[in-house]
Order: sequence, then C-alpha cells, then structure tokens
Amino acid sequence: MIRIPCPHCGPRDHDEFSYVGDATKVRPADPAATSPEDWHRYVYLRDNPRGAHLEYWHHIQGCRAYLKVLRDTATHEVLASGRPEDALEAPR
Amino acid sequence: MAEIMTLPPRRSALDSVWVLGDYGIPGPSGPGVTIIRRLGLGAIQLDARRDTAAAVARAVSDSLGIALPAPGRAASGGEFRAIWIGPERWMLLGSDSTGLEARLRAAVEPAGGSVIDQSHGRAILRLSGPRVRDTLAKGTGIDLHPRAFAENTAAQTGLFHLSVTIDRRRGTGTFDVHAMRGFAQSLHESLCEAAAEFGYRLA
Repeated sequence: MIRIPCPHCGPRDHDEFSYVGDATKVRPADPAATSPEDWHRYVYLRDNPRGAHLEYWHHIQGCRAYLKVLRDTATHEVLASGRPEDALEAPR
Repeated sequence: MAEIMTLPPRRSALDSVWVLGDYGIPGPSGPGVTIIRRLGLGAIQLDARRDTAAAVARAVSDSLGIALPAPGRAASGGEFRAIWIGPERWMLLGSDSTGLEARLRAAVEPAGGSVIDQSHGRAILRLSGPRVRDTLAKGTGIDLHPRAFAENTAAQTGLFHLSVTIDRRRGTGTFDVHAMRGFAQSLHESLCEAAAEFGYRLA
C-alpha cells in the first residue's frame, strides 16, 4: 500500500488521491509560435522511466489540492512531495 | 408577481431510513455507538486566496468571534464551529437561526473572501459512545486514537469509500461526520453495518 505525504494533510492512503499525470512536461511558453510537432510532443509523448518520476496527484478525497510527487516507478516508494510549484529532490 | 423563495425548506436525506431505536448486539453497558442527525445546521464554505487569507481571517474573527483554525484543525467560537477543509478554505457551521451565511458574506467579501452555502448539500451525523472509534476504523485509514487525533482535530478523508469530513468534538468519543447529501443513505447503511456488532442506537 502506498502512502503519500500530502503537504497540507500529512501522510494519507493513496486511495484518497487520483493520479493526474507527468509533471516533467512544460507547457510551451508561446502557443502561437509553437509548431504542431512541439504541441504533439507536449500533449502526447511520455517517457516511461524506471526509477524516480515526477508526477502530479490530486488529493481528491482530502484537501482537494493538486500536489507534486516524486515516486519511484519500480518500488512505488514516494521520495518527496510538495505543492505543484515546488522543485522536488530525492532525499540523499 | 409572486415573491420567489430562494430555496425550499431543508429536509434530511435520511428521513426515510431513520427509525429510532436500538439495533445490533449491545454490550453490557448498552449500545456501543449512538448516532444522531444534526438537523437545522447551516454549513457555509469560506474560500480565501493566498494573498487574502490573513485579511479574511481577521474579518471572521472580528465579526463572528471565531479564529479560523490551522490545517487539520477545527475550532469553536461563540455559536459557530469552523473546520479547515483545504488550503485557504474552511467550513463554518452554525444553527440556521444564527443567520450565519449573511453575516459571513457581509464580513468577508470586502476582505476578498468567497462564501458558498452548502447546507442543502451536506448530511451531518454525530457519533458518540465507547465503540465509535472501532466503528469508524473499519472504513477509514485515519488514525483516530486521541494521541494522533485529539479533540478539535478534523480531517477530510475517505470513509467506506465516501468523501467525508471527520471532526472530533468534545470528550474523547464524539465525532461529527459530514457527508455529501447524495451519499447519506450509503454512509448510514455502512455505519449501521459496522456498528452492529457493538450495538447502536439511532436517536
């Protein structure tokens, strides 16, 4: 069972959260100047890394806040969590 | 033109299933859990923004005499109760006769707060008795031991897969459970099933 430390509510069962998506993708800064290929890469193309991965989660049954979570995709260990604007680093 | 009523009178979502009495297998000292419905209670949601939270908190404190609680906490002040339900977001509760919604709106809107009346959308139960924690523990991952969940602690969490707010009230064994109205009968059924082995009273 995964527990996710919500920065607002504290550690909670992952049943309370819903997965939102890859948090490494950055929306193109100037939509008008972005090529269709770059839009395609931003909207559709995702890596499938083994190991630490930055993700957005939504604490839907709790405080309703969006979170950023650094999760190991191989072990499901949650390495760090924070608000969406936080830069997360794995603890050493 | 006829005067338009804003909302029809509120009716409990549990009217059709709430049959007063004792059920299940009571312990030697009576039912392990007593459940009452908190009727006639207004539930008003208050939203601030990060840059207006301090001003909104001051406005609430000045006008209603209640200090907005920190994350994970609830507080009573005067005839009202406030529960933290999210970042810069609280639920305020007060009897319908207190005019809470209008008073809150007048106080916080100039300070940049938003007020939404949720009274028609919530069903609020009060659970007390020696086996309340055992009953709730069957449906939630939250640690409800007083060491971890003391008086005036509140949590938004899952209970029997439903989204609820759990608010620990006075004493060690009294909890208010707020659910969305549409799920009230489902919550009622799950609570009754969970409490049957301890005996429960619908009061």
